[in-house]
Amino acid sequence: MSIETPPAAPGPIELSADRLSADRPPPENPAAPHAIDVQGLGVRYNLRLTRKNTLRTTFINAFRRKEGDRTFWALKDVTFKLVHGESLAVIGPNGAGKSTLLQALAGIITPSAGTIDVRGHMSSLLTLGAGFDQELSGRDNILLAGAFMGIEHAEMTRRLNSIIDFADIGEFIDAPIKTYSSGMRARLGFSIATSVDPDILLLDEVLATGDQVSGRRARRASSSWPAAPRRSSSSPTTWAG
Amino acid sequence: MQMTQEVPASYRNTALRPRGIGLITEAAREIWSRRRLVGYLVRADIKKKGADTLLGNLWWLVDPLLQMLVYLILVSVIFARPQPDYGLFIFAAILPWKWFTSSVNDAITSVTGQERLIKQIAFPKIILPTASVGTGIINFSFGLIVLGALLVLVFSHRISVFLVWIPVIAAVQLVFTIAVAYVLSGVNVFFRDVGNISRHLLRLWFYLSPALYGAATVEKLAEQYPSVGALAKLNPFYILFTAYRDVIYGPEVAAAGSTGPVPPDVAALAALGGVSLLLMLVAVWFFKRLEPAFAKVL
Repeated sequence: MSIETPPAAPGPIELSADRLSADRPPPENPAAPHAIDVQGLGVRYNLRLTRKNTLRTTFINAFRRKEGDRTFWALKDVTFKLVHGESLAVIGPNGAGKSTLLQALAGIITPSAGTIDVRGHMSSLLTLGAGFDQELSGRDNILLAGAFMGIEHAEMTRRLNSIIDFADIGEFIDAPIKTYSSGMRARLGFSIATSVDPDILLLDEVLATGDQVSGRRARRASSSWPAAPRRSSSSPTTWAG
Repeated sequence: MQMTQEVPASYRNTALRPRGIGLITEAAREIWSRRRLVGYLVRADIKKKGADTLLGNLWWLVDPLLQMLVYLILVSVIFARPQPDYGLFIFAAILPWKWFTSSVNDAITSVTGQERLIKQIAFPKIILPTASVGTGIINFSFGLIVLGALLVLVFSHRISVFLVWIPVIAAVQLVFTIAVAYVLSGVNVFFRDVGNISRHLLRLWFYLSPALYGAATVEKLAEQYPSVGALAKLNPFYILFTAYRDVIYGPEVAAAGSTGPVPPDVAALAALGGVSLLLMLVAVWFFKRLEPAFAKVL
């Protein structure tokens, strides 16, 4: 099941509690533990810092104490709850705050208001192949990515072969990433990100990236997740932005 | 929530953010739990620095030697310094200085260089400058090999039991380096000017510290201008360079015929160690305070 919020006007997205809960069928088991519980989430950007300022303008701004255009709320008062097994799609125009919402859920940015409560292992596929080290081999990059995602080393070495097989890169796995084609890079990124066996999966426009081959692979793999949960306890809650 | 300690790692609630001292203990936990990531990053860095060069990681040994030669030629030919064994005299200071600058310079770009990753994955950002400091330690260890070789092959009459002090002095320097690395890597996210200005400030700092000259020169200056002298002695690298030189070379002497290595000024080292430890805790807290804004600003 997927919930689609009506396309909002460009500008900060304001998902109010009732707009979401009105469309959503009531959970079959109200006592089931939630996977994600978001209460009054707000994310504020400080434009004074995000704009690349020189020291001079910083001092001028500090003296002027100008309010107004200094902050920008990308998300305001977002409240919803998801139990395990549910899927949610967030749809909106560019700049609506979809990616910001996903970043906040993934723990990449901290909320300026409200709280997020997450229960379960989360994997984010926000953009594939981020943080690849161009000089290192594909194999080294797999281990490095695993370490960044906080996966145990033993677990990662156990998965190494299946990741390499799924990425279908062949002997290039021991060549530096800088020699890879963009398609190979995307396949490797996808293969790493999907190997982590998550309870909660965040997706952000990744399935449109990469060449045809990887796109088809990606769709096949992601469609199999909700149907066949890898964990007996809970199936992944899929998110797409 | 009262069951904080039993909450599995996969449970995350943004309402439970620590503050104050909690930030420091959180940072310590983060570094400990991701120590393998630090190891990977250090190894990746070393691999990269050796790649694409003919000598590869041999450069780690050749580099400090060449730097010593440059200063040796510069100072002994142009300024005609009478200091005996001048090569060892400056090497005792160049080696720890190279360690400090390479760690700090790497750390400054460590967070900004991983911009894409920081926007994609939630991970403790303090790992990044920590890895830079780790690479610096490897760099210094290679330098110690060169120092050992120099002592055995060229300056064997300078070998003394006081060399065992080197790890102690290095530990004090490490704590100080970590403090500077954390602060600058965090500030550079907001003001990239840090990277531009640090190169010049570090160079100035080097010349203001007794590296190419000795503590006796500072002493002479202190007699003329007591306030400048007192200020010069507060410089952490006055204490560190003097300590390294005391145990490796011996104190600088005005007349010919030096005394050979002596034990370092333990009181000064202990004071610097204490202050550095305090600075490091403040630096960790400072970095952790800035950390939540990184993904938004980068």
